[in-house]
This record gives sequence, structure tokens and C-alpha cells, in this order.
Amino acid sequence: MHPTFVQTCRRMLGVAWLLIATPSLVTAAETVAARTKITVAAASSLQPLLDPLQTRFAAAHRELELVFITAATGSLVAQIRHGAPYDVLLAADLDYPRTLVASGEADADALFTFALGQLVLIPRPPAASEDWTTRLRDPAVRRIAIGNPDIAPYGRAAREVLRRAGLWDELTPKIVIGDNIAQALQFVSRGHAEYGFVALSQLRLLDGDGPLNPSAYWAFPDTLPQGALLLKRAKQPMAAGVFLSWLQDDDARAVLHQFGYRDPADVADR
Amino acid sequence: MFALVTVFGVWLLSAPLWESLWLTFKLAGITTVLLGLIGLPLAHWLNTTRRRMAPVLEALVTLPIVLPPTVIGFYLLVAFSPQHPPGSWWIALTGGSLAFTFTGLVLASIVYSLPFAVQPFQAALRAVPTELLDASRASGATAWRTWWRVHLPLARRGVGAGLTLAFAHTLGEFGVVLMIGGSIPGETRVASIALYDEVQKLNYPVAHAFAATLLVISFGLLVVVAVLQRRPQ
Repeated sequence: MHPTFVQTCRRMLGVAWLLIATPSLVTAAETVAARTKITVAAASSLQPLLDPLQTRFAAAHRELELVFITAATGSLVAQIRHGAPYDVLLAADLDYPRTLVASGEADADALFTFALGQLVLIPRPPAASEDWTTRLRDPAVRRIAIGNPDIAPYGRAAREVLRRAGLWDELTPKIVIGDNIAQALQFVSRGHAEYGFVALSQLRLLDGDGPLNPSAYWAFPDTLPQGALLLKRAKQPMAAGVFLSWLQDDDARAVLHQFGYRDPADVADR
Repeated sequence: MFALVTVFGVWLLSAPLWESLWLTFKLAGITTVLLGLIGLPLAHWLNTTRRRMAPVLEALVTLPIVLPPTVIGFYLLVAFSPQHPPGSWWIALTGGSLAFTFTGLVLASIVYSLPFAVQPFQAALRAVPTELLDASRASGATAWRTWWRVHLPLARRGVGAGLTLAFAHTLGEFGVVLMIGGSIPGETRVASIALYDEVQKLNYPVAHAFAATLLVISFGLLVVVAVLQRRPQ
């Protein structure tokens, strides 16, 4: 065989090996010891705080690892119905987890409220003076972003707020519906929509680590109880239990507060 | 310019994104091998059959080109459902569900990329002059030997193009995975889904790097297809 041909083959093999080995080496370095994975399906509104939650949890439980999957709560519930292998659901409301309890995917006592979320309306550029209804009514406003009311609890809450204000029908032509609340924020942050109904927790993505500027948004008084649910099909029920009890500890609370969530005990009789 | 962006991108990509890129290549690789095994006999059969049903079958194979991926995703989601067959058979057989697994993605990708392999296969096999095949048969070669030693080698450029297209098309799979795959790291979070997740996190620098990486890879593969499909001088 021609020597240059052999050399070329060797070189190609080398490149192939690099291509194959590099990602596995990176992954191997990431997981020095095999840790028990807890698969957590989390509502899109929780996305901004998943990294800090992960970091804090890892510090307390080195043997456990959280793997997050995010989507609109309704999408996650549909996936669970179709057999998605999740251990825990962190929902943006209580209604969706309750449907899973009703359909036998979880026990009733496996559900609890871990925080209270808040719906906010943000304008781009940020300046939330005067009455929000007046601002939305302005004919110059062309697009208002919300999460899909049929699958995203914050989207549903936004629709309720607009209905109560008698604006839903009038504003329908201007409303752009994101697949979930993260997409709604994306529409506003990139200037595709001038206003957006999003979760208070998401504003960190826009404003960084500084204190949230209260004049940059309108907050609505109704809070959304965030439901945590242990699923019957969980592959790691023990580890998931550890995570769920940690979620009610001070460590997790601190992260939740930082992102604007309130304690369930703050609002009585909900 | 793009090469620069890609170098920058590779440097920026975090371990989870590497993982998703690797997963995508694994999915596309396995799908391409299986499509070669399924697609070549299928293309040959479609080319030679005299059955009246052949055009219907050919249309069926071509369907994924025009169908919205969500339609494929929806039907697969129903088919993979634990409540009824074939999903329930699979669970009885293996104990695991097909939705939200890598195996499920492979099955979905075969359906999704089938025409991208079979159409070039058919064209390449058809382009081989029948006289050569007849000559081979006349010199005493069996039908199988003629197919393996004459027909397939003569069609190899088109076959290569079909395999490359199937690979490239599987790299870009999104809608189907979104419906039946979820976004499970290391299992179903393929490149397109990981990119979608980064955009939703408003993580634009990483999204740019990742998108550029995928763009360069896809472009490179299409150049390969173009080279393969040019007639040798």
C-alpha cells in the first residue's frame, strides 16, 4: 500500500478519535464520581434560578445531582402523562399537579406549595409610570407578549388580569403568545413586543444581579402558588425526597427570595 | 468569518452543549447506518417492483419531506403511548417507554429522514445503465452478486449523497424531538433543542456560538453532497 495513503488514514483516525474523545473527556471531567441523578421537570418561570438552586444543592448534597428539564407547566404535565421519566415536577401552579394526582401519576400528599410566584407586566424600554391599562390601550402599542394561557400558568394569570380589566377582547389582536413564559420574555427583551406579562422571577435575566427596580414593572396582587410534586414513577424517589425537603430549607428559600418568590406562609388561607 | 465564529463557539460551548452535540452526532450516525440498511433494499425494490401499489408506497416514503414535523411527532407520540400498541408492546417487551428515550429518537429519525436517503438512492440506482447489469447477469453472476458487485458500486456516489443528506437532515431535527423527546440531557437533548433552551435563557452569546457551529457543520455536509453529486470528469 502507498505510504502516504496509510499516513492519511492514520491522520483521519486521529481526527476521528479527537472528535469522539473530546466530548467524553469533558463529560468525564465534569462527573468525577457517578452521582445519583434527580430529574426535575421545572416550569419555564423557574429557569433563571435553576443554576443557583443547583449550586446550593450540590454544596449540601455532593452525592446527588439535579438534572432540570424546562417547559411550560402544561407541556411538562403532558409529557409526564406520556411516560416522561421525571422524578419531580416543579409547577408554576397547583392545578396542573392536581390533575396528575387525579390521574394517578402521584399521591395527593406528594404535593406541596414551595413558593408564591408573582405575575408582572414589563414595558420595553423599562418605565412603569402611570396606569398600566392606559399604557396598553395606547394605539401606538403594537405587541403584547404573554405565555400560552392554555399551558402556561402565568399566561393564564395574564389572561385573567386582562379579562378583569375588561381589556382582553380589545387587546386580543395585539397579543403574541409565546410557547411558554420564557419565550414571552424573549419577545420583550429583543424588542419584538413592547409589553410582556412575565414572572417576577424572570426579571433577573434582564437586570442582572442588582436589586430589581420596582419602577421597571407593574406587579399584580394575586400570587401563583408554585407546586412541587413527587411522581410515583420516580426512578430515584429517595433522592427526590431529599431534594424536596431541601427545597423547604433556608438555603433554597434564600435563592427563591432573591428571585422575588414569597413564602407560602406569607399569604394565609390560600 | 464563520470559521472564526466556530472556533470561538467551540471555546464557548459548555460541557452540556458538548454533550448535546455529541448526542446529535450519535443519533445522526446510528440513523444513517440504519437508513442505509433499510433504504437501499427499499429503493431497489421501489425501482424494480411492478406492483400496482408501488406509487402509493413511494408517496408514503416521500411523505416526511412535506409533512410538518409536528404531524410526525404527534403520530409517534400516540404510537409510543403506553396505553395502546405498539407502545404497549414495546413496554411489555423491554419494560421501558419509547417516548423520551434515545431509542425512540432513533425510530423517529428513521421515519423523519427516510426520504432524504431513499430518494437519492433510487435516483442513483436508476442511473446505472441496464446493459451493464444485463451483461453481468449474462456472464453468469447471480442477481445478488450483480447487485452487490456491479449495481451498488456504480451507484456509490448517489448512495453517498443519500447517506450524507440523511445524516445532515437528522442533525437538524427539531419539531419531532420537541414532541416525543422532551429535553433530557444525554438522552434526548439534541443540538437543536439545546439551542432552543439557550435562547429561552436569553443566553445569546452561547446561542450564537452553537448556532454558528451547527451552520458550519451543515454547510460542510452539503458541500460533500454537492461534490458527490457532480459527475466525475
